[in-house]
Amino acid sequence: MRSELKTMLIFSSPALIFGIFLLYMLAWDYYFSFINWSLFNPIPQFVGLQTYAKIFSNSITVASLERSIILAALLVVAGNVVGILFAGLLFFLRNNTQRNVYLSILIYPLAMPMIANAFIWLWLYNVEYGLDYVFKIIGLPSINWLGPQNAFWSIFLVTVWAYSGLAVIFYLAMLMNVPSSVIDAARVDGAGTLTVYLRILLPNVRGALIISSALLFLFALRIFSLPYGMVALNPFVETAVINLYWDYISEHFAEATAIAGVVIAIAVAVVVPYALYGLKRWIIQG
Amino acid sequence: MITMVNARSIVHQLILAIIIVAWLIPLYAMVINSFKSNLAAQTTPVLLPSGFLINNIISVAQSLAYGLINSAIVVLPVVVISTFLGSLAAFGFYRLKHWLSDLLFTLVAIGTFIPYEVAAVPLVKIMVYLGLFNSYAGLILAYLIFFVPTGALLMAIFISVIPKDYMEMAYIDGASDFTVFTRVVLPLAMPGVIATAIYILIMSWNNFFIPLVLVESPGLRPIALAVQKYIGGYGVLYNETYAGSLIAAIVPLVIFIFLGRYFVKGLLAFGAGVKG
Repeated sequence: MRSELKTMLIFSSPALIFGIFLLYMLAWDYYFSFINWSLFNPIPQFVGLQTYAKIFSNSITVASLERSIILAALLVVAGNVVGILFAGLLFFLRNNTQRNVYLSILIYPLAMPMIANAFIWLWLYNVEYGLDYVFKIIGLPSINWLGPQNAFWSIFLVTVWAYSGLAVIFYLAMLMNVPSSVIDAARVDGAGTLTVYLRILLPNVRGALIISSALLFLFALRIFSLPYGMVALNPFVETAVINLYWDYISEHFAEATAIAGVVIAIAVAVVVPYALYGLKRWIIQG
Repeated sequence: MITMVNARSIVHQLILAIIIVAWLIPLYAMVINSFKSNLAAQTTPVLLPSGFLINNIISVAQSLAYGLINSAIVVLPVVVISTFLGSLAAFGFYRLKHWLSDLLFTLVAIGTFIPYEVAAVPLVKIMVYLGLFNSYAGLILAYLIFFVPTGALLMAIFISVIPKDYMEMAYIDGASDFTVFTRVVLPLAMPGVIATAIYILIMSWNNFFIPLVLVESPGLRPIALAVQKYIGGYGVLYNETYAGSLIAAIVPLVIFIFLGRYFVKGLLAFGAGVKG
């Protein structure tokens, strides 16, 4: 045991330096969120929760935090719906090549820089040259996609396009692992494809629901360049991390670290159970 | 009966075809519009092709070439170091069943998934303090803080599926930990090593936020940040914006087209599908 502990420390220590660096930065955020350090306060003092009280009384910051959580929750729901639907359609394909090609097409937005995705959609949403041009021809009303009323929903639509592929791969991978004897047994009993999918297969892939939800939530929480590239620093559409960046560039450092404190708490509350009860469990089973 | 089965499979294929076409529209728009002339960009909508002229993409590529070079300078060391140190650490966790390895595993998971943006203020202050603000070295160090944990997390998952017997046999033969790591673990986990490297390559190449706060000189910007100059609001012609997006996306996109299965394997490792 002792020698194995030594082995672990020797092998892990180079990587741990970076982990400690990260922890140090997170601790730094919390430390500075409790003191009133700014350019106007050369001698910082401990102010307790005052900065937190300040950010929670700032309606733009509160709205951005709510927006981030709503966006994450909506993406979790939409991503799982898309995942269940598309993975089912792909699962019942007979041709493996077709399935793999289609799966790649659903995932490619994740491999693209999100800033490039933002630019592509910026012009697709243009009222003159974009999707509205086609809408006009086929007689649909044109939509002011990035107008103040619609921008949040238009950006949400892009996140569904960009991130849902994640859920599809987890559902599909788990569906492929369901023993075919289970499906055949249900078929013999005369169950149709839809019944087999809903009653037999989906209950077997509950793990995909947990994994997809955790990952979609975490990916959603860090969404920055999509809204930044499409509507820049717009206080009516910005997410919490964009609000944090705004406080940073306007040199409201204490506020920025307090927002970071809140975002870290939300992220850690999802990551820790996911790592210990999700990932770790599979590792031990493996 | 046969016609019913046929009708169902036609509907099945049709629904899938609609989804696939919808998913491809942005890629299609990016490609056709990158090759439009300025005149076509002012007179045609983004969904209709109009000629195939390379002038636009060439001029945008020339003005963004430095961004591609910057990205390569920063990302290649990050990929190599993150994958290697991550593999070492993962082997360390694997050797020991102890609460400490659970703790470290949780720490690398936090490093992998925490939003980069929370580090904005401390990262800049630390880099200024170290004299690494606005430099390649600072960027590389900052990426490593997030991608070494990513490497460790992914490799921990890939190493855990190697059959234990292989390692036990090597230990019985008197091999040292390091020999087991280089001769047994790395070769057996090679597809996992490649998947980890490809995942880190694509994710770090595409990272936007870290250089946004750490780089001041336009000449040091990696491609994902450099492309920003083509945002320009609606005054800029869209063929330039699309060509900029294509240049920013070309490296990860080509890697995805040829080695996409490794990228998917990396993503799957975050879930349960490592055996697939």
